[in-house]
Formats: sequence, C-alpha cells, structure tokens
Amino acid sequence: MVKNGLKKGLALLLAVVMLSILPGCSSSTAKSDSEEKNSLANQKQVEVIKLSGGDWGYPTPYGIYPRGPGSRKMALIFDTLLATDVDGNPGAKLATEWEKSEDGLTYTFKIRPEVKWNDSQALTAEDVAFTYNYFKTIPPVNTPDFSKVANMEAVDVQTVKVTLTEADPKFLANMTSFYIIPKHVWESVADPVNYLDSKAVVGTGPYKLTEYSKEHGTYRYVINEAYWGSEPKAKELQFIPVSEEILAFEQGDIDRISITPDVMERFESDDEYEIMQYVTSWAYRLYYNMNTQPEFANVTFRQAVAYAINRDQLVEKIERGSAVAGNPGVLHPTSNKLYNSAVEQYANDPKKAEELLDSIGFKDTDGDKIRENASGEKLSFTLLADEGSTRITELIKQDLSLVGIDITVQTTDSKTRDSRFAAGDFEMVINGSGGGEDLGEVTNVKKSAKATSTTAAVVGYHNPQVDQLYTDLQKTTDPAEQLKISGELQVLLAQELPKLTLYYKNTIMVHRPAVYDGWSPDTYHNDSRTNFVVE
Amino acid sequence: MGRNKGLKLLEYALTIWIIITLNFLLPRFLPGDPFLLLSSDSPDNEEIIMTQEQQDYYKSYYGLDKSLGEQYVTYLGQLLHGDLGFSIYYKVPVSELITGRLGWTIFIVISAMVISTAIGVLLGSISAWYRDHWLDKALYFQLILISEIPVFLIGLMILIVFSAWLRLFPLSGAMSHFKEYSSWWEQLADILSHAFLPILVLAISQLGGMYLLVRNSMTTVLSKDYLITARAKGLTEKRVLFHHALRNALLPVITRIFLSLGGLVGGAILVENVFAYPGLGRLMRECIRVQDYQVVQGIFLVVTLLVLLANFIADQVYKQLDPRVKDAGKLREG
Repeated sequence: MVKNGLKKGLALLLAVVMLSILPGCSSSTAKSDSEEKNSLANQKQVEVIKLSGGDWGYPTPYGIYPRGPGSRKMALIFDTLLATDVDGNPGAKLATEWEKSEDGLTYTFKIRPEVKWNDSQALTAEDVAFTYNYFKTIPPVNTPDFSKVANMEAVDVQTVKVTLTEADPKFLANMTSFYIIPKHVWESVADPVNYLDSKAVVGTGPYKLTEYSKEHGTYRYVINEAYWGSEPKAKELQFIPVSEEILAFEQGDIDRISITPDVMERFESDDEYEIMQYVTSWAYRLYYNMNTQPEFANVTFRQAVAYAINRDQLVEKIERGSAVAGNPGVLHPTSNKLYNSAVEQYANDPKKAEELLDSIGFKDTDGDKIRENASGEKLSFTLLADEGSTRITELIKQDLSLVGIDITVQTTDSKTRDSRFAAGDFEMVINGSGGGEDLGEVTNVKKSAKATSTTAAVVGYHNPQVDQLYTDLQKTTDPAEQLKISGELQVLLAQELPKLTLYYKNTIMVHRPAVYDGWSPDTYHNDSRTNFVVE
Repeated sequence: MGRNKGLKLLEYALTIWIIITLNFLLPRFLPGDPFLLLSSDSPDNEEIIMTQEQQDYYKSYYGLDKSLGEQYVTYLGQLLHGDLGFSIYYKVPVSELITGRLGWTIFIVISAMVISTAIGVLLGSISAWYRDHWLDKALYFQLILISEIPVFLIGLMILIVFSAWLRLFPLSGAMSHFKEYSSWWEQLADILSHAFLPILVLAISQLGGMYLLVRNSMTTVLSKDYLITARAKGLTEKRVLFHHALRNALLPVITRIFLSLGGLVGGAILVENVFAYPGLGRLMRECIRVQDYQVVQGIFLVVTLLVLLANFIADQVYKQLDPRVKDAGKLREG
C-alpha cells in the first residue's frame, strides 16, 4: 500500500517536472512581431549558419528524394535558366535576355557571359541544350514541363534557340524551374540516379557541397568563390541532425526553427529572439461525401454548415490567432493574386444556419435537439479526421450541435484517413494539405500532370458550370481575363461550397538576430537560397 | 545426438520461414501505400504528387502491382540471392542502407547489454546478500520504479536533464559533424560522449529485469548447502558471494542476456529517435512513415534473424556452462 502511494506521488512529481519545463515561465505581455523587413543587402556576412538537417538525398537533380526539402538543397548548388521575382514574373538568371517570336513558337535566350561552373569550366549555351536533351531522355526528380517544347539548340556559345510545338503562355514560367547541369560532367553518365560522385555537384550556384552523409543526415556547403551573382551572406551552411529542435535552438546548436503557436510565448517577450510569421496555403478543409449522404448534395445544407461553423473561433482557439480563417471561395485571401474578395463570406451566424435548415424541411420533430431530414432520418453524421485535427473536430461538433446536427468523430492515423478518403469510405472528412492552389479539385476536368496536394477530389460533386469556368481559366493567357474568370469561379464556388476551407495555417519561425538576420520575408524555408543570396 | 540436432535445426528453419513470411505480410497490412499522398503533415513538407499514370508506372516498376502470391515468391527468390530489395524512397539497395546503420545500433545495443548486465549483477548480488535489509528494500523499490517507466520517457527525461539543463552531453547525433580532430583519441571521445546518453537509457530499460533475475537467482543459490560448507571453510564473505554463489547464479543470467537482445533492439528504436542516433531504429521509423516496404522488411528480417541467432548462441552457451543440460539431452535419447 505504501509502495503504491509512493509510486503515485513520484509519478505526480514527474508530471509536475515535465509540465514546468515545457511552457516556460515568462509572464510579460506579448511583443508584437517585428514589422521591419530584414534587408538581406544590408546584412553583414557571417561565418557559419547551422540548421536542422536530415537526409533528403544527394543534392543533384536526380539524387534528391521526392518528398521534403531536397530540391532546395539542390538549388543552393545549381541555377535555373530564369528566376522568379516576388510577383511571380520571370527574371534574368543564367539567361540575361530573351526574345519571343511573333508566332510564339520560338524563344531565343542570351546566356550570361563569364559564368563558371565550380570546377572552373565556363558555362555555355551547349550546357543548356545538353541539359534539355538529357532531362528528356532521363527525367530528373522535378522535371519541368517540356510537353510543348520541340527542340533546344545552341546557336552559338552564348545563345540558345528554343522551338515550341505550340504557343505556350506558361513556357517562361517553366523555365524558372529548369536547372542547368554541366555537359562536361553528365555526358558520360549513363545512370544519373546512382551517380554520387563529387563531380555530380558541380554547379553554377552560390554554394558548393563539401560534405554529405546519408545516415547522419548532414550537409555542408561552402561559398562558391566563382559565383557570378552577389556574394552570399553566409560563408558556410551546416545542416546537422537534431532530435529536439527547440532544445537545440535554445542551446545554439542551430540558428532557426519553426514553432507552433503554443510555444510562441516562450520567445515573444525575449529580445534575444525574433519571430517571423508567414501565411501559407496549407489548410484544413472539410469534405462531404455527396454520393452516400443525399443531405450533403443539397447546397442549402452545405451553406447552413458554413454559417454554423465558426472559423474565426477555430483560428483563435486552436492556432492562437496564427492562422487565416478559411475563404469559401477557396483561394487564400492574402497570398493568392487571384483572390476575389467579393464572395459570400458566411460570417458565423447560427441563427441563419437554423433558418436555412428549416427552409429545406430539416426540422427537429421529436424534440431531441437533433434535426431530421425529409425522410425522417436524424441528421447524424460521422466526421473522419486524423490525430492532428482532434481539436478542430471538437469545436465543429459543438458548433453543429448548436444548430441541430449531430456529429460523431472518428479519429485515425493520417495514413488510414487518406486511404479511407481515397476509397470514399467516409461521410465527412477533414483533410490538411498545402501546395499550389488549383481550383481544379472541385471540377471533373482531367488533372494536369503536375497535380498538387490541395487536389483532393470532392466526392460526388458535378457541376458543369464550374467545369466550364475552370477549363476557360486554364486556356486564358491574358492576366486581366484570368482575374475575371477566376473571380467568377470563386463566386460560384462560394455559393456552391462543395468543400469548406476551415483555415490556412501560418508558419512561425524564430531566430536570433544577433547570429544572422538576413532571413527572407517571402519564404519560410530555412534552406532556401533567397535567405543568403540577394537575387 | 544426431537426431536431436537435426530436429533442433528443423525447428530453427521453420521459425525462420515463419519470420520471413510474417515480415513480408505485415508491412503490406499498413493502411495506404507508398504512393498515396492526399495530405501532408505540415506546411514544411512539400510533397510531389504523382498522377495515376506515374503511380501505375512505379507500382509496376517495384512489382507492387502483382498479386500477393507472386510478390511473395519473388521476395523469397531475392532473399536466396541475398538481395534485400531496393528502397523506393532512398533509391539505393536496402542492404546498403542497413549496413550503413547497423553498426551504430549494434554499438549501443551491445554496450547497453554489457552495462545493464554488469550493474544488474552487482546490484542484484548485493540485494540478495542483504535480503530484506533496508538496503535491499531501497534498491528493490527504486529499480522496480525505474523499470516501470517507458523507455522513451526515460530517454526524454534524461535528454532534458543532462543535455538541456546541465549541458553535460550533446543533444543528438552520433558525433560532432564537420569537425577536425587532432587525434583518433579525440574522435573516440566525441563518439563516446554522443553515445553515452543513448546507452545509459537503453541500459536502464533492461536494468530492472536483470536486477530482479539476479536477486532471485542469487537468493536461491545462497540458501544452498554447499555455501554453508564454503563459509564453514572460513572463506571471506566476498569470495563466497562472488566466487561461489555468483558463478552458479549466473546461469539464468547468461540466458537472459541473450534473450534481452530482443527487448534491447525494440528499445533502441525508441532511443534512437529520441536522440537522433543514426541507427536502424531511426531508419525504420522514417521508412514506416513513407511506407517503404522493402526497407521495413529488410530491417525486420535482419533484426529478427539476429535475435534468433542470439537465441541459438544462448542455447549453446548454456549447454557448455551447465553440463547437466547436455547430459539430460543424452538421457532422453537413451
């Protein structure tokens, strides 16, 4: 008996110890995030920046793993033909100028002179033409869209001529992800996927790879002295394995980490740290299975649900304000250029939700606070979610029960949720994903080769009008026209609500300005070269 | 004797075959498949989504579109050639992945085994000698307590106390990276300082069991008549305890050492993830996350075969140490 009591006491002590470690003891008022943009140009050059590593593959276009930050590790060493500026327009990089022919079928690029590979050989137009042909024969992990390209050839040492099969408004954008590899290295390589020689990381970019270990998950980059662009602001980048990021960051083992909203307090009030928040298009979305539940096929019902669920509250309670409430028109309000603010917003209004439900005959006939549908069946549904979404489901369950809809939550691991989602084995489901926002996921239009992870199909939804608008949008090249059509599509989607975006998560990063302060305000990725090189 | 051995070998062969089959089946029961990606964990992870055509292509490339039976036969065939398959995620042969990391796992597992055995034997012996004394009671209570706490929790606590608070040991990894060492001694010290906490945690996880076993075994032995004789001969307490009693009490301990290997490997998986130690455990977790069947199968197989081997060695060693067992076998044959 005594042993039992002692055991309990010790367990309690342990729990107290654990709890007191995590939140930290600061109680001062929160400091607002720094508004000033870090000016990379003004940043003084530092010796070393250390960041969390992990094995993402050998950083060549063929060696990186398809998932994770592999491509950014590669982008530190290699350059693309064109750059993207903040507004998404193509700019000069390895190509300094370009011309499009009248009929849009021929592009001529002038290659930047005096660029050297980091083994001292010169970059020429031959390398560009070679890369195109090599990539076509053996596609790298991230292959640009060459579907409309007929040919690329080097006209002279500094000029590349590209011939297309048809006019392609996206061609220049594609060239911003076209990484150039050296002909003199790869022309003799028959198996690029397994080519792990040190010559495989010969590139024109700002850094050279000096060390890489698969099992430890380490990378070491050193400045490329012969880099053609402005001098990078960090002489060395070290990526090391880390088990507990917050502990490692606090000890100074690494210089920047991402944190969750609940940990923000720990760093907010301390001047030693600076927090940067980024909006992302990664969002939690609610999907309906309109095949199995006829209620969901009713647009008024879906609108009622949108009025009932308090999205602002989700942002406040779950993400402590570090998120953006979902847009019924699907696109992100601040980060997406095509965003149309003139869509129905469905501000939280449980009364309105109840009115809508009454209007379609879904009334509570037996007084148990749960409504019945036209056939007398209770409005009782299951909501499938993974463990990360548990808090969301609790709040949704509450919100919906207020208007007479009963929800049973099923929590599984994310892989099971994905399988069931793909198989249509659900009634309602919450999915979290990010990537490029493509409105195509609500249409029945055939997906293009480069699908994104927001493309989780809405089950059972068919709307020819939506399909038509989407197809038109894909065909337009005129930006003003794109804005107009996309705007119409968003308005329609906001009325139809085939799926409901709950909120977009922000990413919160924290670093020590005293160590390095040149972090880019445009991307939250630590290993992106825009953090170290003015482009 | 021959028939006995033959039967024993058959037993092992059957066990191995069952292990291989289970190895093959279990990862395939995991929900989803390596190419199903409808969600991502967080904004930090960018995922490249494949179209249906690409998925089909890769599925056929890795033989995942064939029937389960066909895949099984192919798998058996590969194994006979020593080919553990090809990693879908890492794009290298599985055996290459495993050999790169096996060393680290074996290092901490064996070290933990040695340390937990040594400490367990010492404490167990002391406890048995002072049975029911306050010293015994204190040791017993503390060690039971420690053994009840899950190993990853111990790992986290030790990480926080010794690494984060006291800064006595590094937070993670097997060694300091990108450092120039002036001597091999320095490099060794670095590896040892990184390995210290993981080994400590693993040793603690097995300590309780070993301690109890030694305590009980020693108690039994200490009550035996031949020890009264030893004492009567005038031998010192220490000699009686360690030279006479312990040697006899050690028999079940030897068996236990080899059997604990299974538990140690399981613990190593958790410990490696807490300390970001580059062993098989870390690899396994990553591969389960991305559902890289081939690697998961490969690791399971290697580990279970190693444990089986340890079992086998335990059998042989025990026979050598305790002639009675060998004789009993002979008697059975008659």
